[in-house]
Amino acid sequence: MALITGWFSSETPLHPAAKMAIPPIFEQSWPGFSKLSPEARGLAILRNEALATIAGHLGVEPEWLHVLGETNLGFYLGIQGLLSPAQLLQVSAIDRQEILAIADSQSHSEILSVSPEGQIRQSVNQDAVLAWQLGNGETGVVQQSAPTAKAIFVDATATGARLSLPEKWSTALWDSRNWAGPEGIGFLAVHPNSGWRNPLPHNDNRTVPGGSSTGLLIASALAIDSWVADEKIQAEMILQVHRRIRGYISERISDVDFATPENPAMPHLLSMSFLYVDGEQLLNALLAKGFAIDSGSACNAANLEPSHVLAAMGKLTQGNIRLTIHHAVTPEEVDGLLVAIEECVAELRD
Amino acid sequence: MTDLPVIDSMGTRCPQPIIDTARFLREQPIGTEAILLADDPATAPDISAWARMTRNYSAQLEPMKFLVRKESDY
Repeated sequence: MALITGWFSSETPLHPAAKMAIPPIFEQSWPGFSKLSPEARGLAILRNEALATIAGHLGVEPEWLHVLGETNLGFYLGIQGLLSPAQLLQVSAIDRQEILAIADSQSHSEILSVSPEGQIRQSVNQDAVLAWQLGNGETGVVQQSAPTAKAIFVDATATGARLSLPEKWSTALWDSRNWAGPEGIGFLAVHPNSGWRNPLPHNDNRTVPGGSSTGLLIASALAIDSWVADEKIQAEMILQVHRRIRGYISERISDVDFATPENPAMPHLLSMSFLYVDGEQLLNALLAKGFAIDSGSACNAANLEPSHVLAAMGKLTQGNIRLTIHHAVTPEEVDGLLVAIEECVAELRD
Repeated sequence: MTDLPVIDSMGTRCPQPIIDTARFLREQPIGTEAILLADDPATAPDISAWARMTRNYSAQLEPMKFLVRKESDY
């Protein structure tokens, strides 16, 4: 059966505002923006405007914001640049794999455990560098307390323009895909008082390698402007859809473990696990009914390990589905999805 | 503990070890204990989530060995 909706998986199609603009942008964005030709100077102006737009929505100064052609490189730059030799790095058990890998590579690191609600429950070492996840991309968990540490790397790759940075931060990372912007472009903010030093080999004062696409930067700025406007209109609808799905499933299906806390700070995410159900079979059954969703179950992971986020929160990892509620979702799609989940879970438990 | 019944789910993938445990204990009286053997990496988080959700008991004895006890009808 053909896919009738892709709206419940984490990826979003490029925002129409950015999509329409990409061909003309790429016609203009070929010169090196630091060159002296009129075309290059025009492009430099566009580039600065794009950076100022994005910085404005993310709540940082444009000169603190650096463009990455590879978003995941920002985890290393943002964290490693804050660490001095032998300094302790603290991360949380529900941080992204990329951050856990950085912790793994350090001589002094500690993984902070979390409560069943995903809140960090160990005390933070005030002399450490702390990796602070603003919002969890799998469960929608948002830490309730403000971070305090000597230096703080904020992982905002799952929150985008939804949540503001905490009062105290040193470096922060965003992914353009979070606001329906193009993939392959990320943003690293470095606070001027952070003491950050470039951990990569370098012979100039650049913060990031600089291989990012100016065309994608401009497209990302158009996307964030439109996404923020959409969000203002659609946020309440998304919360209602979230509550409706949760209510329907709690009422109609037994033995469900919700990983997303009630009263979520990021209601576009909803993660739940069904006891006695194979996650891969559930995903395929839903796909056959035309619904594309994500899962944190082991059967769906490349390494056959269950989601470390669900395991760290003590949640059921089998039969897990993760729904992402996008701006363009329709009530009919939600109705269809709810019936499909109910039918598929019943069939697979039979 | 050596005399406890054994639920052998070695070599099976999630959610089979949990299904095997639930099926076995469902027919037993409250208080029944058993040993679950399972090598799927999802068993450790999932048997403890199962115990919480169905109001039963589980404990990990060794990397691939778990004690389960029926404490409620489910």
